[in-house]
Amino acid sequence: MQVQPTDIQHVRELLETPFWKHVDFWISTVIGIVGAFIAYGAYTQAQKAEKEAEKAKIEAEKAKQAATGAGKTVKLQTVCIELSEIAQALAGVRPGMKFKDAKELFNDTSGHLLRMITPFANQPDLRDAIAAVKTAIQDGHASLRQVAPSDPTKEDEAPNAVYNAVEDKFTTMKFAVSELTGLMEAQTYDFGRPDADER
Amino acid sequence: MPTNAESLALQTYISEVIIATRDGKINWKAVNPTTFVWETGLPQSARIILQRVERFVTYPLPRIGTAPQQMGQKKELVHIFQAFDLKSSVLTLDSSVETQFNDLLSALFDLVQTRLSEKTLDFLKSTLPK
Repeated sequence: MQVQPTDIQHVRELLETPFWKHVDFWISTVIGIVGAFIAYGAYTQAQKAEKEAEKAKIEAEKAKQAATGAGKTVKLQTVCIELSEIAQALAGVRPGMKFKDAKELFNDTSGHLLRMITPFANQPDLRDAIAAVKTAIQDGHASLRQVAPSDPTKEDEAPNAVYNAVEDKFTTMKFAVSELTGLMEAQTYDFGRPDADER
Repeated sequence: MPTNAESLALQTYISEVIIATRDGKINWKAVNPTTFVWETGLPQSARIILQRVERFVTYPLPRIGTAPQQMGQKKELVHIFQAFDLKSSVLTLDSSVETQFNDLLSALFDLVQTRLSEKTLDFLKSTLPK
């Protein structure tokens, strides 16, 4: 096949024409621009989705904290009610009380008390009040030991001996329990205030 | 609250009980580690109870500058002296309230405690083979 001068002329014309005047250049450019827009759109959608996910996570965390706070409040309120009942029981010391009855009252209330307060022993704002309750329990126990009858059948010879010995100590226990109850109640007020929307 | 004259008469009475206890004329019995009972017998049947108890007492703390007076709390040994006739209580002296009796009652308590310990020791000694 012979190369004609017109062919060379045609090739020269093609080479001398600017590349942006070619149709295929514009097709690829448009495709590229459209692709970039699509990629940008996808990127912004992804960013938005990530923000939404983060927001949902924060909301879930707040809801969890609110639920935990509500749970704590309910638990504290239950403990407060039980502590009030213990304080009321401790007021049951009466003149003429027998050693056996005083010991029973002490054992019931002190055991119950220790079970109630132990989970809160490491709370800084309750530590002193809990220590006061524990000291009062020890004093109550010591006061009972001081009046353990040598002969239970002759306990009536000194009918108020048990009352005289334990009344002061049981009253101190009662006051210590009431103070602790007050502090715990104050905590329920604090827990009750914030909710998920406020945080 | 006894008047001054009554208080003096009661202090004299307790002093006489101390002397009688020291002379071994009163037979005290321990009802529990901190309570002693004396049944007087005829002609005047009565029961005298002496008890030592530990109480919390409040006392004024040293005042600092113009700060309000603060109160402290400490444990103190107080004594309760009770007298019963055949039916009911005729006298109750609580030395946490009537503090003027505390020293006398404390002395009586210590004396009774010593006498009872001596009795117990005498009994234990009597059980030893001779």
